[in-house]
Amino acid sequence: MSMWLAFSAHVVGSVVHNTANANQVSEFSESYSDTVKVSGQFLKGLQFTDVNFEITPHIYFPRAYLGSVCVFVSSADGRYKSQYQYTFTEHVEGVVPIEFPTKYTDELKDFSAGELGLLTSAQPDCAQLNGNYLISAWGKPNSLNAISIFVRSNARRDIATPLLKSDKQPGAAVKCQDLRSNYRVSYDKECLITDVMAEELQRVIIKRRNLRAIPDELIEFY
Amino acid sequence: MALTKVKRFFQKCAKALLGIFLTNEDLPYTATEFRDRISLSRFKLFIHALVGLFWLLLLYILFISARFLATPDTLYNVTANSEIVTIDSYQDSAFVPWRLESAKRYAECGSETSNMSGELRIARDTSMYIERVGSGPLWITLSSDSLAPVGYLLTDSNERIELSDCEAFELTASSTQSYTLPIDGIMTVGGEVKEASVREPILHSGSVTISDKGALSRQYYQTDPYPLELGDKFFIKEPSVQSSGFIYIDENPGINITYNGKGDVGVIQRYKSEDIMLKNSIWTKLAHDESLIFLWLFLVAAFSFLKFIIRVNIE
Repeated sequence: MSMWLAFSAHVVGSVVHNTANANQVSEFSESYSDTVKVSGQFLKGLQFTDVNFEITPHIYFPRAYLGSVCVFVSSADGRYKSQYQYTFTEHVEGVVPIEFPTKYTDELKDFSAGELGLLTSAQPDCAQLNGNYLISAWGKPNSLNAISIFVRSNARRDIATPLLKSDKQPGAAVKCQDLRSNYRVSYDKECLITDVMAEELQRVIIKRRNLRAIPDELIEFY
Repeated sequence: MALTKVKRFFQKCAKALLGIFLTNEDLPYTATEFRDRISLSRFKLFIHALVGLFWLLLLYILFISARFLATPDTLYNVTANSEIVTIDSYQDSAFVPWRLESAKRYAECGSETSNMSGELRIARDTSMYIERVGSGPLWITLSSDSLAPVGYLLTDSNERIELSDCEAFELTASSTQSYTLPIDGIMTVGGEVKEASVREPILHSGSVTISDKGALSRQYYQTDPYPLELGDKFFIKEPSVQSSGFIYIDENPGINITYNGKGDVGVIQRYKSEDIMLKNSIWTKLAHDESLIFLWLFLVAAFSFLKFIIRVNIE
């Protein structure tokens, strides 16, 4: 596994060096209704909620960025999964649509935005996601102040608290709610953070309890 | 002048009402001829009365059929053996109070425990998770939608203990200690098989029976039970009333649940599969309620018989 990741990182690295002028998709892999690599990841989606749904990821960069982003897509019911790396060869800022070379567009259109977890991170190595998360959306977001965090949690209680860059005081804590309408294989809870400007978000701390305290989950933003 | 107009109107109406018997074109008359011949018959009044009755019957059957097909709510009877049952409050309805004996309380869903006996009063906007994996202890977890309290406890000494936004209670079931707990609300029976987990609480077996009222009898009839398989999840989508039933727990594994609820459609969800919609379709309705088919057949018979009587009288 680690050898494969090291190999893919090497391949991705060489792709970045060879693409001087055009943005590029690399290491795209996807599966639909198939046996897929199981991931124990806690975080499955970081998305704007106010959006006109379309099968085009739009990523929000609060400040200028140049380089690679890692994109992970997983449907709540676990039927669809994909991951790829997208490399920007020029600086980007604000809401930026990116290519999504899926061959399952018709199948994905049957999902709603909340049933299709989209997770993006600004980092060159997609093997280890440990911060620099970006907020994205399926389609162009109409506003940037309501964010859904989709998580896969066994805890009885998850409470998300947003921390802002400018204000030292933490924002209002919200309780993550069970997603009920799906057969939830990939993720099962939504933490809905409202009245927060995306550019102000520094991190979200999710405090978890399941008859004992579980270590906090920290989501650090780019 | 006005009298002529009224007369012409009635003549046109008679032509339309009687013309229905010319629709299959085996009578060699125009509608005007047909009406005029009937008006010259000795049994004119008798024929007109019969035709009037026929039209009333037709309208009645159309009305019954529309009511029959447009019945929005279907009654679902659910029985299952599941390791998890989730209950949400229906609109503003209150939960049934529960009596708990020798339960271990985990305040704020944390590690701090205390033993309690008393009555559990659950607040609205609370989700209730009743879990029991195998023959292990029964877990009741209450969690509010917001950070509001999930309710309060009324202990045997009449002390009122306010609860937090997340509370867990552990109860032990055995051959000498079993429980019957009434449930009201919106139920979801069964859990999900999830990624990256060793053991999730799931449904083991069960069945869903659809009941509906007959068109004429207005009595409930039942369709064949639809089986729930291992790992299924069932809920009623857009319920029109709260579901009600009870759960029973003893030394046998899992939780036995039985309840009934009304709603638009029953949904069975399975691991990485399309949802199965259980709905009382026109075909299942007709298959289980023959009275409507009988009424329509009777109408066709009345149509032919009436046409025969008219023909005998006008030729």
